[in-house]
Amino acid sequence: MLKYRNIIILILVPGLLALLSCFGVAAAFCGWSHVAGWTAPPPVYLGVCPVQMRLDSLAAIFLLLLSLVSFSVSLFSPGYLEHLRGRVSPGFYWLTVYLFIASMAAVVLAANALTFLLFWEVMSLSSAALVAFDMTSTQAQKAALIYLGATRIATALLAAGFLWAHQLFDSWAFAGWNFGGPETLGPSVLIVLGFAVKAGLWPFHIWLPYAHPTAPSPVSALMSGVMIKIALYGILRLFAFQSGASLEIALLILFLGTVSAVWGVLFALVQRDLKRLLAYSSVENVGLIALGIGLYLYGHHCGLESIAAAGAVAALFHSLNHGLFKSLLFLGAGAIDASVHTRDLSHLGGLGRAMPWTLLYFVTGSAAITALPPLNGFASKWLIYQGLFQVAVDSGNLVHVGLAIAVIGILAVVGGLALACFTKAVGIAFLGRARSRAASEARECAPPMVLAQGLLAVLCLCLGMGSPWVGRLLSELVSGQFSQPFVPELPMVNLALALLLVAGCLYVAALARTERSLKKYCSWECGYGRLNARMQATGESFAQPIASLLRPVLQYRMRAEISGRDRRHFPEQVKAEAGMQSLLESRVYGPLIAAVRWLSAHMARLQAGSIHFYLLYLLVAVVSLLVAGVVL
Amino acid sequence: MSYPELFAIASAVMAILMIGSGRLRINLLFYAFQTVFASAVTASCGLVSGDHQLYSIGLAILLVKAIGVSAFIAWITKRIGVTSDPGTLIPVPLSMHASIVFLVVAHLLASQLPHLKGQDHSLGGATAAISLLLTGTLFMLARKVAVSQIIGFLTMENGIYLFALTQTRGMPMMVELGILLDVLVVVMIAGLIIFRIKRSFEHIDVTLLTELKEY
Repeated sequence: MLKYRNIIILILVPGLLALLSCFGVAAAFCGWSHVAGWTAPPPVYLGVCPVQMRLDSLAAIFLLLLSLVSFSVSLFSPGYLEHLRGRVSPGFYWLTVYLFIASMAAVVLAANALTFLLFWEVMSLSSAALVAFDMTSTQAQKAALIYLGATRIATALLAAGFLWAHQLFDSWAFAGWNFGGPETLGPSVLIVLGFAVKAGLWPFHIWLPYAHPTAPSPVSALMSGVMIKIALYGILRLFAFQSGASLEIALLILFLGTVSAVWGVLFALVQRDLKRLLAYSSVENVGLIALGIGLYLYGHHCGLESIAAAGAVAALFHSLNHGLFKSLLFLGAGAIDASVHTRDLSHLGGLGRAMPWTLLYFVTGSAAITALPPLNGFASKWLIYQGLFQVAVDSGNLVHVGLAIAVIGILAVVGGLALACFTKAVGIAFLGRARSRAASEARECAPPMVLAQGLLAVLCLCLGMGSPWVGRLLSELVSGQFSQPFVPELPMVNLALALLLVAGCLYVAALARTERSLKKYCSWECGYGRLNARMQATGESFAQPIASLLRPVLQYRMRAEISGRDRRHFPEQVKAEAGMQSLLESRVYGPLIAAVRWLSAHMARLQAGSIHFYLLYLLVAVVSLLVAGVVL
Repeated sequence: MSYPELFAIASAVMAILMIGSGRLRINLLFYAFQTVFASAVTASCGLVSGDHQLYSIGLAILLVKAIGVSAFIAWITKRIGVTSDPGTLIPVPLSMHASIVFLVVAHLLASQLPHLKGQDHSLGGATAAISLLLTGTLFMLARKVAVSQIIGFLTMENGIYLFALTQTRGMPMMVELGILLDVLVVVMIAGLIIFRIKRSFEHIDVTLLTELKEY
């Protein structure tokens, strides 16, 4: 009995998901060249419009991303579930994951607003259930509540925007919507804000660092890699690939994108939890994609085709790339979690020796996310820079030129900070010595889990090396709206060759310089001997210089305390404490939630528990309705 | 004044007489009279408009609501041994006078409503309907015993029914019968709930049900 159950849980269920993912990849490739539509047969009907699906090249890109990531997740999950044994039932996990993936596919394929909203809800609720899988811990309860709140707000905004848009255009089908005119500003703002909440753009990003670390790692990979991209897909579908949007919307998206990029990377740098760090880095990357979309909308509105094309290609390409490398990194964090049972960087260290494959793939993912050539992150960031430089050169409007140059500067800072952030993640987790007993006993994870990460890493490399080709394909998709075809310039091959050459030279030079290293230690070495685990740099000390530089934003404070009778020479106790605080959470959301609570507590008095009070409310309501009906 | 209008006003007057007594059996008796008049309104509407379906609906109302429901509630009060309200929230004479004021207010409101052409009973019908609605709510508000809540609710329902009957050009028979069935089911369920309340709390005073509220 038990054996059959194991076969089903370990082989059949993930195998079916893998098979479906392959089918999804095939469908995506078909959809690239042929547009396919499907309307549900009569009994299935949404009241005012049918359930309608449409597969075109834009949907195909996101379907491809979803299929690739869910294929890796199907390989990774069985091994990972072993680590969660006793905390989550595999039946619940798989059922919800299937629902989650299927609803994401349906959202991408939805052809009208009601179908979209229906599956959007299924997607939100199934992912919330997965975040809440371990409801016994208070941390999971808080995370699930925050995430659920964010999804409610997002859906409310979207529903309001869709209703308004329906009233304006008298159609539920996305094909009939056109947000070009000035009268569409209201619904556009509502819809963009709804998508921004779900995508985790600043200042709505606060659910990400709670929900992503709490969910099981394969689910975080799906949520961060695919789900938040689907919100951006919504913006692309409704604004970019219809007939553009007004200048206000373009500038709004540009602004939110830029702030998210800076904010995300700053907070990522100072995190201790590996998955929280990755979650904040998702905020940064979503910001970059939003920047691309904003550039497209700006270029489209101002009639500057090359800017628009660069922005659109960059947004699409970076969505694909970020989906792949962020999933890879989350799976890597999951592998560490499964092996060491902690994600706290201050308890990790020295995992590289025990988990060489995970190290290799994690480094690949980190190099990709920090935009190092020849990996895929470089290509898409390069395109964003290209678009911004073109704004600076071509736009002619002095204000816009200044803004573009400022954004380029900000992006450069973001790039540098991202590099520091992932140097910290890799360095603290994988290099040096183990900081805890669990870390010293780490083992490489099961082969399918390694394979899942390897697949994504190889895809990252392929997309990086093949980026000129991919860029051309994507620009073909975009160029239908432009008079001249846009050819992105991506000198990947030259760069890769140059990089290989430099790396080779460095390696040879290092070989030539290497002598047999002989280490001698004397008995009284005054701390200059071999490092032990407690003498290494910690994550906090690595981030401290940058964090203290940006004190005002992070609310970073550091306190060191040395105590003892002769504290100058023989301190008995040395204590250092670093803390930071999210300004948005403490100053904006905190008071807001407190106000809502206060209001609800007072509203609850209306519910007196007395039937006669309720009857009185009823009487007052009836009389006032009657009077209103007569007078008005 | 036409027959439907006359019967409708008579129904409203019965409701006012109903609220003027603290004894449950008398309340029930006047509820039954009020419903008999409502069925008379239905039948006379059928006479005026020539729609013969209304006769059968009137008969159904007479049998189900006026006789069946009243008898059922009378049986319940006998079973649980409650004959009168232990003490009303609003004194009985005061609530009766208030409901007379409501009848005037209802007439003022009804005269402001747009009237149907070709139906001379719509003004009286609307007056009676709004008056019944308000009286029923007041009855529920003023009394403490759970049985009175049911009677008040049924009075409100009569008001809504009369409004629908006199302000439209007739509803399909199926809808009317469906509403009738709903009322029957509601009364059955309410009766059951009263039994349960009696068993759990040993009284049916709804003002004491506040102890159910969670703080």
